[in-house]
Amino acid sequence: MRISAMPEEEYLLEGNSACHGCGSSMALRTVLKALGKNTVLVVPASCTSVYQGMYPNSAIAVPVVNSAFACSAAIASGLKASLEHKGMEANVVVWAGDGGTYDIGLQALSGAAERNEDIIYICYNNEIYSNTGIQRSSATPFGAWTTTTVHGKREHRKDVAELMVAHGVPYVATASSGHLDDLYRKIRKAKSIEGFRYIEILSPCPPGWKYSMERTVEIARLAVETGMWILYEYENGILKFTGVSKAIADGKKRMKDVEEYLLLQGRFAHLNAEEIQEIRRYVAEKWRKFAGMRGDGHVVAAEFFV
Amino acid sequence: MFDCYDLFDEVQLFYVMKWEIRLHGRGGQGVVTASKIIAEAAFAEGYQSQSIPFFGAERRGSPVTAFTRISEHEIRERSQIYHPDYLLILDPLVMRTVDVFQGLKSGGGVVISSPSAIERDVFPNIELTVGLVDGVGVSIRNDLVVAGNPVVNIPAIGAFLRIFPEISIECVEKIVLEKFGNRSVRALYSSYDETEVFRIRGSREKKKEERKKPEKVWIPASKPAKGVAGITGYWRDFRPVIDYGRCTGCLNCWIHCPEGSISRKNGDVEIDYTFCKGCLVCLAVCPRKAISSEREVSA
Repeated sequence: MRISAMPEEEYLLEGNSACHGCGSSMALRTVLKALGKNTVLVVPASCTSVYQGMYPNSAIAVPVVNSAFACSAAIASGLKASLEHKGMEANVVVWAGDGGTYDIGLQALSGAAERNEDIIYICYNNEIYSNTGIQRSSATPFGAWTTTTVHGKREHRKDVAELMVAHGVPYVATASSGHLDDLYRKIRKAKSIEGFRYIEILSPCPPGWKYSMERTVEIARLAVETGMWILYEYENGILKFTGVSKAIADGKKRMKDVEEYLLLQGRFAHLNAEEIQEIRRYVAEKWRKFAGMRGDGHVVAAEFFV
Repeated sequence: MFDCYDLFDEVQLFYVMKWEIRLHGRGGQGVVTASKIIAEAAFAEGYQSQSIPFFGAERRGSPVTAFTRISEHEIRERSQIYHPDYLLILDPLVMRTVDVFQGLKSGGGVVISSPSAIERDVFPNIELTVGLVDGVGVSIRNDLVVAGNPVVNIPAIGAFLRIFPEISIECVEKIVLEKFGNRSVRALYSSYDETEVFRIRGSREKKKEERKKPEKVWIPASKPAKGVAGITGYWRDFRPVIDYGRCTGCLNCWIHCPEGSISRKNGDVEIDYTFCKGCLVCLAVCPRKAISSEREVSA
């Protein structure tokens, strides 16, 4: 995907109140470019619901419905049904954070996925409740500092993208703010598919992850290069790695050590060697599991089986 | 019969010294922390004190307010401060979007962190003592740039101590050393020394606000608009500058700009400085290193 082929139209307007170097507004810009004008967004309480601005102005140039935390997928289902009833065609898209997806919105999400509603659910995952001041979410990785896990979180994160794969929906993909071309392609693909589509975007948060604001792209890319975040898409029952993750899985690129990713972020600054080893173990285990799920006929490089 | 006004007179007899301080700045500069440090230092000096952050959905870069009360007597109030004795303005650009001088008492003190002098017509028409310091400069010189943001709170406290003699600098030093280490202590002392203190009577004219009649609408739906958070270009500490000689038009900066402040016209990229927040992501993603940064000094 060439960058110059992406549309010039802006649907996330400048002058919104997102932080400097916000990973989620970076992703939202690209997502809206890929979706185009004919889109309705459902946004539950999240950073986006704040930086979109207050009445009578909105920073998002497509219709937005602000929903309660727990019901964004249900509201999107209803919207799609009513649009269909009126004979109107539009992409109904949920844009929710990891709090609204992993924790409070999970039951509505699971319900809509099971009913195979014709909507796109996008989770921008910054691994914390950043809007309310950096509290732990169930997407927060092991060892990360938050205001509610001051000595580092003791549990590993859960994986809702994997859960959506288990739901057997038509399309599941993971993406990252560091690979916007890949994200653009996946959104375009999701747009062309009918049924429930789930896309999860890793979007780094400078104040929450405690790194210098210009490094958002670098950190998001490192997450993929160190294997902490796996880029893949699941379609018609087949799981395929994409981008850098594919190169790693094919053995064409060496996976970097997790330390390169962790040391750049203040939220991991307190980790000791044992805890870093635990994260290494988790990454290796995750890759073994995904390699086993891989369905595109390729053999997985042997280096993760250490 | 019991008359509450008698009680009021009685309270007036026991007049106690009380100072109210309001702090203005932007998220990430350490406004709330500054408020806490001042309150702690006052407590260590034997006063009663209190620190309250303004509660709201505040984001890094957007205007932030905090309040500190210091008193010789127990403090029962829990409200925000509407008539401050002292103002700490950690960023001169906040003055453009927030009426920082609102309610400031005559004879009060103002600390402004600004790289350049402040015009007389900015200040309200009352007697004021002003402490002026280049907080961002002090912060950069003492290596106090955290996550790309120069932290201005310690320099601002250094300047504040010059116009507020009730707290000694040694007392603040102890607290700052314990919390933030040596670099911050150096910044505290260098801003204490560099602060320029002067008295001024401002000449600002009060603007009459015109009230707009609200539009009548059937369904209250928001309309798309740029600048829903105001002119976000004021949030900038560093300004990205494109060297067109080196630019190849690869558009990496355009697609990665979180703000959408970079436009592409006929293959040329251009930065819209009205809304660019100065996060410098464009500088980081430029493969040809055609973008450099300059410190923003326009106040």
